[in-house]
Amino acid sequence: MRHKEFNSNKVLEDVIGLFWRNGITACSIKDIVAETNVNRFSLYKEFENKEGILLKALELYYSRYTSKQIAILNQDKPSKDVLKEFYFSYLIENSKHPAGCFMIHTASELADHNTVIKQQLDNYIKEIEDGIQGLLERNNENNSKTNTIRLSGLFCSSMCFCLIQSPKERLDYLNTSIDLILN
Amino acid sequence: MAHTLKSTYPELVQKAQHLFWVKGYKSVSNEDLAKHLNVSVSTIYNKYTKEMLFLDALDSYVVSLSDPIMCQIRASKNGLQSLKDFFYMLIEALLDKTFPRSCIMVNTVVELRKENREVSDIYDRYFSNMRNSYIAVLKRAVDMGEIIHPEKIEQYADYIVGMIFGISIYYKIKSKEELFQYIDGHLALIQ
Repeated sequence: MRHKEFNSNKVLEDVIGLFWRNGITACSIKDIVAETNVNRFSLYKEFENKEGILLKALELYYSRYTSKQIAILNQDKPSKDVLKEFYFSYLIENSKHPAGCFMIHTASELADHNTVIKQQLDNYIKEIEDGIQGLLERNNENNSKTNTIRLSGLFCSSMCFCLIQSPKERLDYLNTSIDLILN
Repeated sequence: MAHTLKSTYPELVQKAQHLFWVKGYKSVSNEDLAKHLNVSVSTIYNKYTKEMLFLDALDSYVVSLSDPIMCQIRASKNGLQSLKDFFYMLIEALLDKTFPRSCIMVNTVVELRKENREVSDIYDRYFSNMRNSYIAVLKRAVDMGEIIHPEKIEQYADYIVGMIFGISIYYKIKSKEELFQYIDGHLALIQ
């Protein structure tokens, strides 16, 4: 039996980078082959099609990155400190990923017409809302329900708006907004 | 014989705007664009390039759609109610697909960030005009006694500018009632 000659997670990491830089619709299977050095036949065998690649990439992104970022909200620390840490965990550029969130990026492009992506966005935002509400309730904050909606809205805003801001502007925007909501 | 175009340039920009709004910038090829505009591919290569059409499509969005609304907001005498009306209208436009996919400016921010200098210049004009309009409304709201902390209006304006980005994601998954509650919840902060 022929065994698989590539590491799926490594391929998916490369695909996340490619989709994030160039957009998902704009990438052809040819581009994915060029980026990952895995031939078309093997890609289809493993993932079926481009949508299959995207869904597996989102799964990996969730398990490696966002599940840990959402877990930040479970800490027993003052709400403002936890929230700042949570938002900022998405806004640090590194060699692998640009600032922002790959799930939001994908949803911004596809959720209007792709019901699977729409459902994933919905689950993702609900999980963030649960995390935020839990945090506010643990710390006995006022208006925890309304503020949860405001703060998850701030998450969506910052994942888009902060992309064109300088690091200092991001800091100011987030600090001001969190203070406004929780004071 | 010189090839004559069936449409004027502004008409082409309008058609191109719709395509960019739905598909974004990078996924539209020169061939797609030529087909959508009903012109030859060589027109896109030699005369009206994809980048030129895109920049003018963004400009046209600002000039014909966003600026008139911002002017209306600045002229309104209704204080905070005028912001609420504006965001409610935006939500209606997103849900009934008058806006085919989010706000084209927000889509561009997410897709292109600061990769293109000329696009960044358009963001700067767009967001500073938006912010100035909000400041004008907030000042009027202060005069009307609607705002308890007038010293915070600069912070409020920044916060309200950010709201359009959140709505551009939120509308994809929330009901109209939830979206209206979301607007009310945010605006209640500044009263």
